[in-house]
Amino acid sequence: MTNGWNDIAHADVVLVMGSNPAENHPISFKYVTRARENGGKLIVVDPRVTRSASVADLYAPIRPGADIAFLNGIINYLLQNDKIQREYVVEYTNASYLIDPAFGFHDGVFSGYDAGKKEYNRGSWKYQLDSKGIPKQDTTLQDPNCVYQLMKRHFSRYTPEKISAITGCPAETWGKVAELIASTHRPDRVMTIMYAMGTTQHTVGTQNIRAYAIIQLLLGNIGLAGGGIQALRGESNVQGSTDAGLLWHIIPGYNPAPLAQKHPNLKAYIEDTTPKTNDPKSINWWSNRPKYVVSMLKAWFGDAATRDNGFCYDWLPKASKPMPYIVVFEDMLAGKHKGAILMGTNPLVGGPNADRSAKALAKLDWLVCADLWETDTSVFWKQPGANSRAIQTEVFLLPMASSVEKEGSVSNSSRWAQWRYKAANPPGTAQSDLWFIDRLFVKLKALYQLDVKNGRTCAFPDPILKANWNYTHAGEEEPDVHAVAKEINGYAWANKKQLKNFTELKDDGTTACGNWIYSGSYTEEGNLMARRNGKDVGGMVGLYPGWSWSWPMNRRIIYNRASVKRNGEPWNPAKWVVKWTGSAWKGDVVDGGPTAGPSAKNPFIMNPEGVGKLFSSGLTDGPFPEHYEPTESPVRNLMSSRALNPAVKILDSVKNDFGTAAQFPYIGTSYRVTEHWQAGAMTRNLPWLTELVPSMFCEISVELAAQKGIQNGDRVRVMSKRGSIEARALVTERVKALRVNGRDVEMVGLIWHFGHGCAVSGDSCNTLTPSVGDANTNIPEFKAFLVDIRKA
Amino acid sequence: MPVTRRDFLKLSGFTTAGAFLGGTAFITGCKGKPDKLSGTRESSTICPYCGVGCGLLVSTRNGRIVNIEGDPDHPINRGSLCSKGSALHQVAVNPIDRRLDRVRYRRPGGTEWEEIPWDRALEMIAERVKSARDRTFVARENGVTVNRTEGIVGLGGAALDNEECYLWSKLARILGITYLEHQARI
Amino acid sequence: MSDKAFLLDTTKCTGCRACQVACKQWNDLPGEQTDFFAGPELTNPRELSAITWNHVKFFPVDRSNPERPVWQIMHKKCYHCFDANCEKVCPERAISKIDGWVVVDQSKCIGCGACVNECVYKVPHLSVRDDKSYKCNGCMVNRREVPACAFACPTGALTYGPRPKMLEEAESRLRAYKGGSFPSASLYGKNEYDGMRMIVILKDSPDKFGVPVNPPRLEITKVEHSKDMYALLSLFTFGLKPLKRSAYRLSRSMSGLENGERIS
Repeated sequence: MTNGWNDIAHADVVLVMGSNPAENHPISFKYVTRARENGGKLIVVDPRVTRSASVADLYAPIRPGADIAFLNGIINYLLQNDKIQREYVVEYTNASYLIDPAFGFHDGVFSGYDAGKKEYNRGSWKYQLDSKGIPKQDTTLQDPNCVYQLMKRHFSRYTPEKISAITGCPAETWGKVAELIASTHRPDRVMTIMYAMGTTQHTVGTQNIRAYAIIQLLLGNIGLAGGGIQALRGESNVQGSTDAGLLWHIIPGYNPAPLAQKHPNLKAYIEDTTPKTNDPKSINWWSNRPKYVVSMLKAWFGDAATRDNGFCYDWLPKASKPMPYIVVFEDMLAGKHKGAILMGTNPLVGGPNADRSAKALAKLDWLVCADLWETDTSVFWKQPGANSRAIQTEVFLLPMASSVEKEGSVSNSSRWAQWRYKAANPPGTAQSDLWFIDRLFVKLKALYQLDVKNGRTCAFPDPILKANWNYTHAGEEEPDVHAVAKEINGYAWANKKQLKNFTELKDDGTTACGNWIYSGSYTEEGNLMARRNGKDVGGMVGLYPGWSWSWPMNRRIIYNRASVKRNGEPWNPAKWVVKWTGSAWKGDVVDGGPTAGPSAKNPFIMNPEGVGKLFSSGLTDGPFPEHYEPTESPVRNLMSSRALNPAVKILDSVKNDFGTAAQFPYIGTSYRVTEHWQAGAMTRNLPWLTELVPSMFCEISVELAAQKGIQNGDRVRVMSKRGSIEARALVTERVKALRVNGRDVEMVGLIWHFGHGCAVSGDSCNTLTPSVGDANTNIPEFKAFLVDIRKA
Repeated sequence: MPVTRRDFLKLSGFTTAGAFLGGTAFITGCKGKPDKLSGTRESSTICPYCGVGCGLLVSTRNGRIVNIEGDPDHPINRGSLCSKGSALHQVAVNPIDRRLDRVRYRRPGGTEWEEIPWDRALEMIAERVKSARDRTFVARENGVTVNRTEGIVGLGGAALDNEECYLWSKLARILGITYLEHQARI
Repeated sequence: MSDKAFLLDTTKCTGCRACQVACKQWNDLPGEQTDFFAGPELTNPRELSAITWNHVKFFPVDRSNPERPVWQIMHKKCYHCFDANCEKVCPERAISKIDGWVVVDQSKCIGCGACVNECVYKVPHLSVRDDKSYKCNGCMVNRREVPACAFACPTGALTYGPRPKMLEEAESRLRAYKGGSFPSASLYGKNEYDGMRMIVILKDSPDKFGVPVNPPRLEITKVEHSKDMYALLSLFTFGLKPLKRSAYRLSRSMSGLENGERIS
């Protein structure tokens, strides 16, 4: 989230799209309700009438997988009707930047496409530079190669008729949405966008978000109170776990994980990953990357990390290919792995293609599941249909402490790191995850020490033997969570004094910092994440700077520099976030350092150009969003001859795993309900919640039910190319066929919380979902696939 | 005069882990009946479900949790919760005894769980991790030092604390694990 | 006497069901065994019970305005009538008011089921466990300043405060809704049974959501007759609750009144 939960109250328009916050982030509706009470309007765009839609001022139906058509149409509407915040667009976006004339687009494909590799060579997706190496601009926005003009051309293809034919949303309803969104182009009117997995779980997921960003930049809504783009995080600490780099492609603090081919040594890594700019107005914050990476290496490898050995950069593992979730399970199925450690995760319910994943788990020699519960995954060897005796995988199921049985911090969706206290002991012999991780390290170190002592050969032991790892104080049983939190914050290596924040980090080995974005969370002042001062400051827009601690730098609204004009006055004085007094900033902790004024520096400090990118060369699948159909779709693409996003790579091993509309005529889509959480172990074991939703169910329209002879509550079978499941049918007016390109398309909506473990169980929806992901993130396409349904 | 919980806690001399006493939303002292929260200690926590990050207060009596509800002072939820957050009590005190309290082990080809002590489990897991690392470690590839353990997968973390995530990230990389993913990808 | 009341504004309810769980948490009530949805829509369980003192009813969605579907979602619990049928019919004075809230004292309850029968809203229920009547007590037993359901409500759909203020607020909101999004919106609980401590704003008229307009008053003669009869018969019950219950049930049927069923 760019802004905070409380800040939603300040929106004049709330766009809920690709999310269902009333159900999945219910407390957010405290602030959506407040926005409405203040005269704000709630727009809900969703295939179903959800509980969010039940309080919407304007509800627009949409076919799953058609978001870009809907949104590109909005962009077109803003450009054609000149409903843009022009001063903001000229000053703070790259609308005026000139693009290389070699850039082009034809029939669904951008310039530079390599059909063999399914990759773009992005050479032509670049700015024209002047003699100083600074992008050329035409602030009148007239040059045919400026971003603004390129956008006008690209998006003009998205006419209301096309949009309606693709999305199934009546043109008139879409028009009302467009008009309401456009009303926030005025500086004193603001829109916020709330999105979640309904946006990301598509083969065009990242471009869906790009479309939001483009709209918000054109309207001048980024950085302002009541504005921004809110990625609604679904787990209590999925923000923090991502911050910590628990993904193949990033290490802590969003630094790229080193790659074998591109980053053979620290110098090459820094060269490749540290952006440069010649623009004096650009703050280019990522130019600090070397300080962050070296300080992390120092925190990990301590005295062993020296300038001479590249701070032990070699000790970091280097991947030679992408290893996202889908690839992990494909490689597991191919027998490449010996074992897996699952820390509080339940992939047989949460991941795609569940039957295939179960087969992959059976290929492991051993599996460790650390959890509060017996999860569906931990009993994969005895789920219905499994031949237990034939499965040779050893399984360890470790009892872990719950959130109220240990101490530590979690980061919410708006980046607030909040401290939790231990209220009671965990049951029986259950332990905290911290204890398990620490003990595992200590045991491994002892084993490697023994090998070295006895002269036995073992794999490279140095990173283990020389790691800077000392969290359990002498005589203590438990590792000290504060010691870990302090390392994350960072300290001066020489005197071990806590650093104030990341501006003190160095790239010479004198500072150690586990995760630079958390630097400032645990200083010499103490644990700032535990603060409970509920006072507000500045424009009183709900920043609460004394409550917990927010990364980065306790900044509550990021990109807040964009909330003021070049002269430092807020665009919206009634709800100001920061303001420049001529010599200093007031309000929120300003982006990019307190000394630079608004006229001296550009506001989007993480981009090398310093402005928001309407045109971006950063994504694999195009500088602008373009509509493509989901991998499995019942209709052809009306925008081009390209069905699927050209940059999506389907693995050879699953290429025959996709069905056609002839076999599977209905759109399947998966989602969550308020009463359950994610893969279900945390809710399917609680009688108060299973009272509310006790069974795996799917939702279908009254018409489809009649056609199939299905009554409400009947057991039905839902089939896809990947497998088939049983569910109960909720026959509801909330689901209706959509009129797509002249014909009705029906949908089967499925909750995905169930599996074959826990107190109440049922078939896993993800038995049906495909192993194909977004072109940039590889997040699976859970939200649009093909199914058939019949009475069971 | 009604006594607020804050006053009650002040009077009774209890302090909480963080000395964070909630607002005035609770009255203690009821006609003849023991107050549900009398004599309890409170500590604050953050909801383990979605990413909103609501605050809750946990009341314990003699080390046992007797009540969990929204923290009225928390600026985001101001005491309110959803159905999941309101049910957190049943995670801590599960009425159908589903919480794991011992290590379970399933041997190759086994049809049922067996119980083993933690020490034994840690030893076995460490041996297996080491053996997998030793057998699948790639030190160099095409002339580049890659120090990669191909045979071990690490998954999960979105339900862990920041400190746990960080340490898991650090441990996985120290071991050379690159097949490291979690819920953010799905 | 307290002047407090709940204001339920269903136009703000998103059906998260925090109220339903928060009540169980605070009052130590178990979850119910359910199967699929008791309906309609996501409703579970179908009705209140001795272990479910409030629940959320989801009605079928009305999509006649496709851009503004109307989905009535309604928190339901005891209305705490000023002139409460249940209180009037209880032969053992087990039902009384505490600070104006209608509370069942289970130590006095004989499980006769009179309250179950006479409540037009089907609020009290006899427990299968101990044959006694249970229902919402406005958090008067495990006492707290703001009842657990209202305290948990995220959107402000369910609030709690001085009744005159809540009523004033309700009427002002109703005017706004009628002139805007919900022309047929209605108010419930202002005058029914001389007024209630649940004041409800509904998106349409109450009868559309199973809430009776002009709910019937007790047939006082029959009730008095059965009470007199019971007074007589109870002389022969030796203080034993099962006998008392039989005696009351007999006196009810002799007075032409129905008898209650036990539901969980």
